[in-house]
Amino acid sequence: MVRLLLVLAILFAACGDDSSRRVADAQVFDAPVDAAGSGSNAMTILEPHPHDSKLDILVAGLSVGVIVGPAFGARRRKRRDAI
Amino acid sequence: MPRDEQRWFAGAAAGLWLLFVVQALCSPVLLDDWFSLRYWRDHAFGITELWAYARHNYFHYNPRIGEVFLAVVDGSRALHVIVTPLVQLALLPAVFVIAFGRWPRRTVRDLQLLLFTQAMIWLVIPIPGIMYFYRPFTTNYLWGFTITLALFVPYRLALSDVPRRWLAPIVFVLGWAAGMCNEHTGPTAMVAMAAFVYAAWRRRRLRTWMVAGLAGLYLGYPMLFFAPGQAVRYGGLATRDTPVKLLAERGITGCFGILFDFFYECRLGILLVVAAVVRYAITRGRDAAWPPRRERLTAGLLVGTASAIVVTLFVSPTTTDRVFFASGVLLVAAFAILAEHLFGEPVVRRFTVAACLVVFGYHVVRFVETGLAIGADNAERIALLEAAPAGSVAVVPTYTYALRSRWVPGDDFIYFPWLRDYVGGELYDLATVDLDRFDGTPAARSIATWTFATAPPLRRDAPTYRELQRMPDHTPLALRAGPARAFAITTTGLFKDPRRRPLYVLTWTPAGERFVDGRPEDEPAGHFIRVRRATLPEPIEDAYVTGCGIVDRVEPVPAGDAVQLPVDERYCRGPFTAIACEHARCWVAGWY
Repeated sequence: MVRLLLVLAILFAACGDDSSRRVADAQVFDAPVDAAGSGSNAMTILEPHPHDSKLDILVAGLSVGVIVGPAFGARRRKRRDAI
Repeated sequence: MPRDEQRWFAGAAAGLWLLFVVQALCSPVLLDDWFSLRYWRDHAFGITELWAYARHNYFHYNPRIGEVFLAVVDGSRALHVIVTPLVQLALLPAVFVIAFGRWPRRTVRDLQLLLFTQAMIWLVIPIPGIMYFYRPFTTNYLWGFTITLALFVPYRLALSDVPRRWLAPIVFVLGWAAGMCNEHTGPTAMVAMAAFVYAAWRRRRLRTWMVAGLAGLYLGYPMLFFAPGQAVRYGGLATRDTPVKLLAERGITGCFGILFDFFYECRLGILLVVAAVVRYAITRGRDAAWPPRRERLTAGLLVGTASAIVVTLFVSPTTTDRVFFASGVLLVAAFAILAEHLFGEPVVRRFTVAACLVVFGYHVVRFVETGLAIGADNAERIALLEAAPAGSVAVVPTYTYALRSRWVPGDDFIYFPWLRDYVGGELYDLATVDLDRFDGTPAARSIATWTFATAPPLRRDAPTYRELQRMPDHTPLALRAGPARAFAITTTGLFKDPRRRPLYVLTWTPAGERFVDGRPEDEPAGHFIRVRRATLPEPIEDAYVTGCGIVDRVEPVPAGDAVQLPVDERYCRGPFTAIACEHARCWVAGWY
């Protein structure tokens, strides 16, 4: 049960919607006049920052794998230690 | 060390280096790169011109040393391909030393820790593809923070080491360079440096080179922070938005929002570390142990240092994803310490390393995939621009990855339509550049009009201003379409005159011609458009310099047989066009 809750929490954390977290819209192409700066300045003002949802899901899945992956060696060692 | 492990280690290092080399070879020319190319087109690549560039930046533009590094790698592709991958590679052992106080050994165990570190860096920093492979960000942030970490490497190693006098001048320069890198990392670096030197003094291990590094850093950072260029950078943002004003505007909620943003950006890395901790706790049960006190302290200090850099951003005018780079890397160093402890449990090590390998592989695939695509698109675009006839409108395809993302900066010609005029007009002598998609922005157009005695007027695309400037005599052009009575080149879309006067580039009649000749002039006092007085009509009522969507009314400054029109680079580096207006009409009067 604890593991299931952990998995759900991890999935919730990793796959959350972040669409409201960035100020700029990646679909807006025409830079405003005051965004017409060079380099870092220019990038600063627009800065659409969409996340890679595949990576989010991948890391969530890997995290679950790290927690619940089979651990034959550890169990063997525990049994050995218990003898 | 087993030979097999050494081979694995060397192979992995070579593989990572190769990735960085491939990416460097694919690096597209984007945004700031164009400005550097424009500089190197007009100046020979060398130390003298680089010094002039750095000097101008320090006094009038962006004083960070990363801008000079950018000019170097933009000026020489060979240097970019050689040096940038080495710097990118050097970040990894530098983080390792900062975390563990020793160099990595050529063992599989340390290789696993390095893999963990690299995968976590890419996972934790918000835009790894841009930070690593968009040259302006790479030199300003990745190079910058690698230099800062490199400064601390000997300190981290030295408290148990022998004196090294020869290090003093090297560490002094490194300290100065680290100070000149970034405004938001400097204060924390100075505090950390003071702590290192104090600790060495307390242990009676203070060495000359340690003081030299401290002196360099404490010299470099004030030089950056109080540089004259700071007053004009970001459109004078630093002078308008003072720290007190920013703090008052942001309030407690806003400041914590920045801190929250940082940890939110790190969430995938945190998630993986939490998973490893949970697995360790589950596997070990009651035998689970905390890391030793010394490691806990080091990790805590690294998290504190990362947070301190973020806190510095509370008083920074710009708090965007890229400034989380340094904090993210330090957080990963803390994670690495924890990972080393957790890896004591084989099952945790096995699964975490496997997970990092997948994350690493995913990033490599995405880096290479996007890098090759944008590199090919960029090469095609440059080939089209080079092949387009002078004075024409070149149409180029948009990039496959046109939007900014975690992996690529996007298409600079889409995000910054004015850049098309700059690149087209100033680098390739084109009327402008159009995109085959997403093009909703009108660009400036020059039209040549031949007027004949009997035949109707003829209108064609005109040569660019710079082409006209290179012509010793405009009469052949005026007579190209036949015996013209008059010939004129006018421009639209460049400048909105409040008095709605027409804008001329050239007028010609058999009796004579008018072409106002102005060109770039770099002086220690700043950048100007120098206009030959003899070519100016009299009297001039208004003078303007327009660039990047902004029109500045300027006062001409007499300078011998010319007048200088100051270029205001607070917002951008161009393109700039000088406009000189008589009572009834205006003239294009030069460029920068």
